[in-house]
Amino acid sequence: MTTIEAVTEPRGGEATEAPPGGRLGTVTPVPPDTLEGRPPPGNGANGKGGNGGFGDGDFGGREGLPVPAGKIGLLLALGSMSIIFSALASAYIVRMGLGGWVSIPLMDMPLLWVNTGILGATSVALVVAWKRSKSGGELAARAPVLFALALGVAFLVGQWFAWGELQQAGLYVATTPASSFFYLITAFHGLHIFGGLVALGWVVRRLGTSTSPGSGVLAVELTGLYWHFLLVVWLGLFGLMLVT
Amino acid sequence: MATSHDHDHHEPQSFWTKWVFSQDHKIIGIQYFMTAALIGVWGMVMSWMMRLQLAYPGAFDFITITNYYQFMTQHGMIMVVYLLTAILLGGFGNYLIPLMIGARDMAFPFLNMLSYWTYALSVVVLLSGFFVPGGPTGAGWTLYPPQSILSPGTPGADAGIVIMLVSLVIFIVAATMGGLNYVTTVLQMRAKGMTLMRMPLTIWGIFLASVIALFAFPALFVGGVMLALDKVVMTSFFMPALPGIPGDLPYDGGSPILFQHLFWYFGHPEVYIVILPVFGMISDIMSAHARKPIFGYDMMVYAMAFIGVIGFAVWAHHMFASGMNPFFGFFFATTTLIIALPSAIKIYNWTLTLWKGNIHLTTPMLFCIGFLSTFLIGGLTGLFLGNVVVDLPLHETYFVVGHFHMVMGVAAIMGIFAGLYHWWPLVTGKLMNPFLGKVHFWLTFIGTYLVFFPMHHLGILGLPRRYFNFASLGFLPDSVDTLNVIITIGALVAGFAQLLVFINMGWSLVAGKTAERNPWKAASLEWQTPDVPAKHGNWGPTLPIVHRWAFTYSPAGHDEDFIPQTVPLVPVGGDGNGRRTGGNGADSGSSGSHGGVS
Repeated sequence: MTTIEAVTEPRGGEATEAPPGGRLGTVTPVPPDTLEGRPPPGNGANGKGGNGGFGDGDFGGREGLPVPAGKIGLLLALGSMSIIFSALASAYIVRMGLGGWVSIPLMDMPLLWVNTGILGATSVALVVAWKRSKSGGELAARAPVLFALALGVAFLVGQWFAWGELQQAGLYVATTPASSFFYLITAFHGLHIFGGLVALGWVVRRLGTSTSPGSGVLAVELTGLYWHFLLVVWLGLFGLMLVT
Repeated sequence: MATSHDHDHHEPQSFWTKWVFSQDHKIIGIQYFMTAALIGVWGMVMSWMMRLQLAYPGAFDFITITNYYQFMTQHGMIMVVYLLTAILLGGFGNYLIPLMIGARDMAFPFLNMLSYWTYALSVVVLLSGFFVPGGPTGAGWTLYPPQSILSPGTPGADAGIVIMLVSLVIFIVAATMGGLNYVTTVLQMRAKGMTLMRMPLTIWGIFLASVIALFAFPALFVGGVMLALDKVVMTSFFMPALPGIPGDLPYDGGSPILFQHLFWYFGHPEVYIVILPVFGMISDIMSAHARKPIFGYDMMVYAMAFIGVIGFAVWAHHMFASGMNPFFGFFFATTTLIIALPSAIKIYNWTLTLWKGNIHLTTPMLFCIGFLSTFLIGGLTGLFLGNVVVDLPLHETYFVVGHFHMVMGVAAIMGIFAGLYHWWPLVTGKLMNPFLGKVHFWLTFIGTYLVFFPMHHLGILGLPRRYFNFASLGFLPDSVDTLNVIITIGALVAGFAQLLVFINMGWSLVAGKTAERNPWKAASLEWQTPDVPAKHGNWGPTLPIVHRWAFTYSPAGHDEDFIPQTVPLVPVGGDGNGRRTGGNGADSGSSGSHGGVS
């Protein structure tokens, strides 16, 4: 395509990369920024990772927001997940107004409060990890991330015991609509928590061993964001089930 | 969460990593396309079964009332979800996004591979429904409870419905992985100079449809899981008390209407998930084959975005017949009719793109014009059905069947074929036979019109949809039977005509002429790779730089009648932000820039 020479386009656009000195109606040689004429590619060692060994870097040769692709992907995923939990919440609210609804006394289950505290502590640990990774290097984040991992496991175990308490009280999945929703919502949330644990395990493995600097900090930040999201979701849904 | 680290994948060498578990978007696109096309053929064959029964009731022993409903349900579900959604986002999206925006691959190639194989699994699970006791579900593609899970209820209410729901859940996981990838890639991986408002409309369509998918599918996911629980562990999310039904069923107080809301909160945006990519593809292809810039590019983008947003606020128009507060009916009718505005903008813009264009009646262009026709017909009948008082008498009739098949079935298929014929040389480097392509178009176009146009008439006569047999309906004139036979013949003709495209593809691969680099002389970026078909990494040693939009056709004072996006401009004024300004060249008569257009 580089054989086609540039010409003035009467109303077809404006060139920010155009060569200087072009005049209306003149034919201008192709500037050296097209495929063959560009400088040799970099080696991808710009801290942003390579691209299939082609060394384009991440942002230098591209349009886009100054945000890592992983963060955009995560935010989109959180948006999608928030529809899942909103759909659950709105189905819950609609179902409440229909027949056969008997509330379950969640107020009498201190374990759920303990679990909520544990989930909150997980988020705090991940904030600490993120701050440490920025100031003290990636390895400094390892301990708080491991701590968060342990807390996350404790949360899941706690939720499991909460299910056990309900079953001891005779409340099974199909006993009442409220119990159905409790199991359903905690299962959906728990599955997402499990995904978060996998992510944390991956971060622990990666911290200090990654070849591209800065990626560990980003990984801690993104997993942290995900866990904060799950905390907010839990507070919202637990609050909803508590007051109704 | 995957990061740019994932890009460090080098060209795969082994058969398995190159062709099967490939992370290359081009291979994944072809995998998605072929899987969806094959399952789509099965969906079409099932529609023949229905049509044979309706034209010649009782003449075929292998069509019973039970498998009639199973064919109907599986046809609908396969066509909407497993064919159209998958082929447009997974097939065209995968192949075209990186090439059209100037990227080497998707943002998350591993996730992309995972998306395809998860989709493939969902198809396998779906098909397994045909081999379980009782067969697949026959509840209609909407799967409404209670009858979809009640035994005895609609066919396949035991294992079949559970398999259907499991398959859907798996599909949604696949679609979500794909959607995250497509959106992130479009946002973050564009080549230098490829600003959002320079993107081809195909990319805009796929991008917006992917965003919609990310926010619509979760509702079906939740509804599907809840319906499965109602079936398997006897919860009462959707199931009301059922006095008089044999068996001691513990259901109490659930709401079938709640399921309908969750289903259609997904189901209506799903229509736009299917049609927005088609909008985009039609725009780009029509412009290239009319040698004229797309008319009203900005408005095309805004119209699609507007449709995408307001498409989330119309879902209950599918439920007018279920009954609702009249104020809700008014609200949803209003939002539904408002969608006519951006849709009309698009129809006008396509028409004005053709107006005084240098129209080449190539196979892709024929399919574009076919799309325009069927989408217009389907859109206009949508205006009827968007009104509550008109919908109520028509809702259970063939008028609805004619409407939705025209607007999102045939129109989408026209767009897919336009895309297939247009981009075939890009994917294979070969040309298809144009004569065979045109025969394929005319048989498809006439055949589908024969099928769906008379259905509007039948619907107004009161012919009820979903019926296995009309024999007991005394109020129908004899002409209904004649029309049903004509429709069935049309369906068989249009269906068998699809063999032509498969023959054409096979013939092209084996004996087709080698295509020149850019056989349609298209201005968009995907034709500018150093090698066509593109090799791994797409762009050779360096990424392209984009200098203009994708629609510079018939520019004034230029020998070629198009300028690729990679060719620089010289400054002549404008707003200085790298976008074209004012009009768009060829449609501005006063500037004398109609060169090549007659």
